[in-house]
Parts: sequence; structure tokens; C-alpha cells
Amino acid sequence: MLEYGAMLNILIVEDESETAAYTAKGLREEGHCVETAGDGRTGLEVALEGDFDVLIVDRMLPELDGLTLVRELRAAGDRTPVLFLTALGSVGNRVKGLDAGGDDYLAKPFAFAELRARIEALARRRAAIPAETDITIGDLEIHRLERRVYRAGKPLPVPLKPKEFRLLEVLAENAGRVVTRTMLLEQVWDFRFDPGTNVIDAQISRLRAKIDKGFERPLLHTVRGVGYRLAPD
Amino acid sequence: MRPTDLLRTSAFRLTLVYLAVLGVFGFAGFRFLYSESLEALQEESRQIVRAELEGLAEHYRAFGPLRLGAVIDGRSRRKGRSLYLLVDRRGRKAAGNLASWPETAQQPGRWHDFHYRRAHDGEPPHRHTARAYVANLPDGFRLLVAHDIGEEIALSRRIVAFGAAAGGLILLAGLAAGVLVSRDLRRRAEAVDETGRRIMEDGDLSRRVQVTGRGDEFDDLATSVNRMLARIELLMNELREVTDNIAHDLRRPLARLHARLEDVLRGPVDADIYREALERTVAEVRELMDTFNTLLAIARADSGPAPTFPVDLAGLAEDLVELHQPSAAERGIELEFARDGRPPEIRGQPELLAQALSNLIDNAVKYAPEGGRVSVTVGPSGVAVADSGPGIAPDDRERVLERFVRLDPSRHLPGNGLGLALAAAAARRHGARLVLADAAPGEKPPGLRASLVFPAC
Repeated sequence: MLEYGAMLNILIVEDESETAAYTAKGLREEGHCVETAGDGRTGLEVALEGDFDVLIVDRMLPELDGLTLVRELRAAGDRTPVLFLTALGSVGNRVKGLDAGGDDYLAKPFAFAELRARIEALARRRAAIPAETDITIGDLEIHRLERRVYRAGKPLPVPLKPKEFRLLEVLAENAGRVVTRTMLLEQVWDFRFDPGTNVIDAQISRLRAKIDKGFERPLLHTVRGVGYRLAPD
Repeated sequence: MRPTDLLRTSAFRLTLVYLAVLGVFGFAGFRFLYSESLEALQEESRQIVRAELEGLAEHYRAFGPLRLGAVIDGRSRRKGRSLYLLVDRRGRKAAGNLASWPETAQQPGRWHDFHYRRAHDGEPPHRHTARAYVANLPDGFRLLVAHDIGEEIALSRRIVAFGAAAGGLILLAGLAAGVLVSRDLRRRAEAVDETGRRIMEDGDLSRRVQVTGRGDEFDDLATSVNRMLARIELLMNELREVTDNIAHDLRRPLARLHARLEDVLRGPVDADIYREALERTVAEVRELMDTFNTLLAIARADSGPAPTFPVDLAGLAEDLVELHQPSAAERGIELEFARDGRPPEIRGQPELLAQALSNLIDNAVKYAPEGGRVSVTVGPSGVAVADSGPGIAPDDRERVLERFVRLDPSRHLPGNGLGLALAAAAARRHGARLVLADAAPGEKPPGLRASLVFPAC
């Protein structure tokens, strides 16, 4: 299993050198190994030669645009997870990007923490863990088939509503890693807009009240300014 | 209009094609009628000639050449179109009113046309045309009976002349009509063309194509072009307004940001101070980007076609209520979802509608007093969000849908003044309306009911 903070091999295909440099620097500081390519053609070649955990691909690239790059990559049998970067954040473009074989989508300008969280979530998918039916985090047990949650061996005093269960599932799938508010909105509610004032924070508070309240060690942590993390520490 | 211009108009080309078709069929029909009637006329005179010849030949066989000569001379004296000639075996004339045997008429049992000269009522003799039938009689005598066909020829000439005149007149009238119609159509097409060209020249989108009021297809075209121009003009004006607003709305925060950063730079070099300034800067830049994104979303909602999907309005509303419930509860507000009949069937952009409805709910929760209520109701006309807040005065309801308009003068609540504008744009995109009304008319406070009303279909 991929541990939190594990080193990843990342390729950034981006023609805006400033964005590429800033992103690469940030990811290297996180301890990842980063290569960059400035156009689509080179990007495709490097991606096919190297063994990467995640590709970050801009939609608009010289030589070969991002969509074509990923299509050709997939046609060559390469399943490396791809995160599309784009200045065009519309629904239609997002759908097109995901159709082409992209795995996630991030609109520029983005917060670095958002990029980092998404890359780590993608890399976890690459590690190809078969979807666990039961997830255990500390003394929290999640039985996905029965949709039941136990804390310290006992069922939760107040049961979770379906969306709360899904929220917990997404956090648990990324246990140990930060999940951002937008990732939660996308994966739990399938919304890709900002619903406004602390909506997600309030949802998390409610979930926290159900799983952490009355226990000495909290499991659901807030990472200030970024998102949330479900972990035993 | 020059002749070459005329040829380029489709109306005139159609006229030419039409005239060509008319000419071909008209000519064929005329030919048929002409030859049929001429044939009928000739057949009649042929029968007369043949009958007479057979009668005379019979007479010859019964009574001999002398008696026949007397009969022929008798008939020759009658006024009429018939010609006779009887010659003996040496070719000498025995009887008849023809001076000599026509050279072209030799073979018996066939028709021969020939010319002869004949005096008429004291006029000098001139050339006539006749059609003859010849028979060989016993003892070398030969008999010719003919019929003058001058009248037939004259008649056929008259028919041809008449046909040519009629055809010519029809062609001329057709061409004239073609020219007139082409000119008229051309002029009306040019009215549209001209308007387009002038808009291209000076960019004045307030120009319109003149509608004649005849209610024909050109009026339809003009009307739809005008409608398109009106829409473009509206969009252009909105764009201009948005650009102004963006400049205005972003200049202030940018200036503030700039001032603060400079202030920090002038101050002491202190990691904590720097850090705090940077954090505030990042937060503000984030807000500016959100404003940009919302503006983009509004612009996108108002422009261009996009793929559509079926929208489950009730499901969407219920999800959104569930999403907003905890944050509403934190402010002590009860947020409820209710169904009041079957929701309308909608195709469109679920994401955009969700964002619009989310904005309405967010507003309602923001403006409802603590401990107040917000209800989201889905019904046959669409979805309504009602709150127990201060409401919006009727005079302000239109204005508040514009971008960057915030009624709250102190601006103590977070927001960028784009939420309702986006909801209105999303409604427009779906052919719906965003209707603002009092939630509890007559009460104080009246509350606000914001409804997305879809057209009945």
C-alpha cells in the first residue's frame, strides 16, 4: 500500500514555464521526483519511456494538445493516471478531458495544496489496491457492504445518513492524506462549484460529532486552509 | 442594375429556366397542332381530287376520249381551284385548263406538287402552286387532275406567323416580368445586405433591417435578422457593462492589495509580519479568482450552445438542501425540502442549475434571521426558495439580478454580488425566469421567495 508521503515519480507537461517551474518546485519540496516537458510531443515520448506514478498535463500544448497526448498514451496501453490542467473550467471541457482518458481535472489558477491532494489521491489509485470492503482507521471500522460504522467496537450512537457515509468513505479511502473541500464536493455530491459559505465545514462538523464526539483521540482532522484528513494520529 | 448583375440574381435565372421550359413545350405543342390541322385540310382536298380523277377515268373507259374531253372542258370552265389536263399518247393537249403537262408530275398514282401560271380576274398571270394526281388511261392517254393549294399555303403561313408572334410576345412578357421580379427581390435582399455591411463598417449594432409589413418571407428574414441583432446588441452591451464593472470592482481590491504589500515591504523585516501579510494576500487573491470564475460561469451560461442532459430537479434540490442543512443549522436556521406536485421535465445543464439553486439557498440562509426558516419547494412550475428574511423591495428586484449589485450597503455579509446574477443567467439559459417575490406578503418582514419558473411544456 502506498503510504502517505511516499515519493512519487511525476511528469509535468506544461508549456507555461512559470507554472511548470512553480509546480515542479513545490512537488520536489514534498519529496517527489519531478520531470517536465514543454510540449505535447516531447511529453508523450517521455511519458511512454519513463515509469511515472502520475502525469500532470495541460490541455493547451504546442505540437500535440493535451487531449491527443492522453488519447495516444491510452492507445499505447499506458494507464498512468492523468490530471488535466486547464484554463477552461467549463463542464463541456471537463467531460471531454475525462472522455479522452484523463482521471481528474483541475482548473487554473489552482491552489498548490489542491494539486498536491489530487495527485496523491490519483497515485493511490495507481497503486491498484482492490477496493477494500472493510476499512479500519485506528479504532474506527467501516463495513462498506453493510454500510455500518463501528467506533471502539461499538456501532455509532447516531447512525450516519447516506451522504455522511459516503463522505466518510471518501475520507477513509484517502486515509492519512489530505482531501480538499472541492474533492469532497466532487466525489460525494458530484458538484463542481463553490456552494458558498462553509458548507463543507459544517458537513464535516456534523460527521465529526457522530464519529469523534466522546472519544479521547479524534480521527477527523482539519488541515487549515486546505481540507481534511482522516487518520489515527 | 447592369445586365450582368441581372444575370447574377437567382430570380432572373429562374425566370430564364422557366421561359426555356415554357418555350420547348409551347413550341412542341404548336408544332403538333399545326401539322395535325394542315394534314386534315390536305386530306380533304386530296380526297376530292382522287374521287374526281377516278370518276373521269371511269368516264373515259365507258365513253372514250372525245366525250371525256367535252366533260373536262366543261368542268375547266367552272370557276374554282380545280385543274385538269388530258393529253394523247404524243403528249398533245386534248382538253383541260392547264397549258402544259408539268414536268415534275410524271409518275401515276402519286401526289406531285407543281407550279403553274394562271391569270386571275384580269390580273397579269402569276405563279400558283397546285397538287396533282396523275392516271394513265388506255390508248396512251394520260389524265391529270390537280387542286390549287395556294389557300392552304397562305393559311399555314398565317398560322406560323401567328404562332411566332404569340411565342415572341410570351417570351418578351416573361423576360419583362423576370426583370421586374428580380429587381424587386434583389432590392429587398439588398436591404438586408446593406444593413449588414453598414454594421460591419461602423459597428453600430442599433441598426435594423426595414420590415415592409407585407408579411412575406423577406419580412420573416428581416425580423429574424433584427431579432439576432437585438440579441447581439444586448450581449455586447452586457459585455461592455461587465468589463466596466470588472475594472471597477477589481481595481479597488487590487489597489488595496498593492498598498498593503508595499506597506509591509517598507516596514521591518519580520517573518511573522510577512507571513500574515502573505496569508491575507493569498486569501484575497483567491476571492478575486472566485469572482472571475463566477463571471466566467455567467458569461458561459449566456453564450453559445452546449450539450444538454436531463435534469432531475427534485433530486437536485433535495441534494442541495441536504448539503446546506448543516451550515444552516449552525446559524439556527431550519432548512426544509418539500414537494408540491410533479416537477417539470427539464433538459439542460444540471451543473449550472445546481449552482443557481445553491446560490438561492445560500442567499436565503445568509439573510434569514437566526432561528428563521428556509423552505425549498419543488412543484410543477419549477423550484422556489422562500426565507423569513427582510425580503427585497419591489423596486429593487430587477436591479438586484444585475452583476455586482448588492443591496446590503454595509456589505457586512460575505459575497461578491454575483449569486443572483448567475441564477438569473442559468434561468435564461434554460428558458426559465428567476422570479423574486414576497414570501409572506403583508407581513413584516415579508421574506423573499426566489423561484426558478420553467415554461410549461
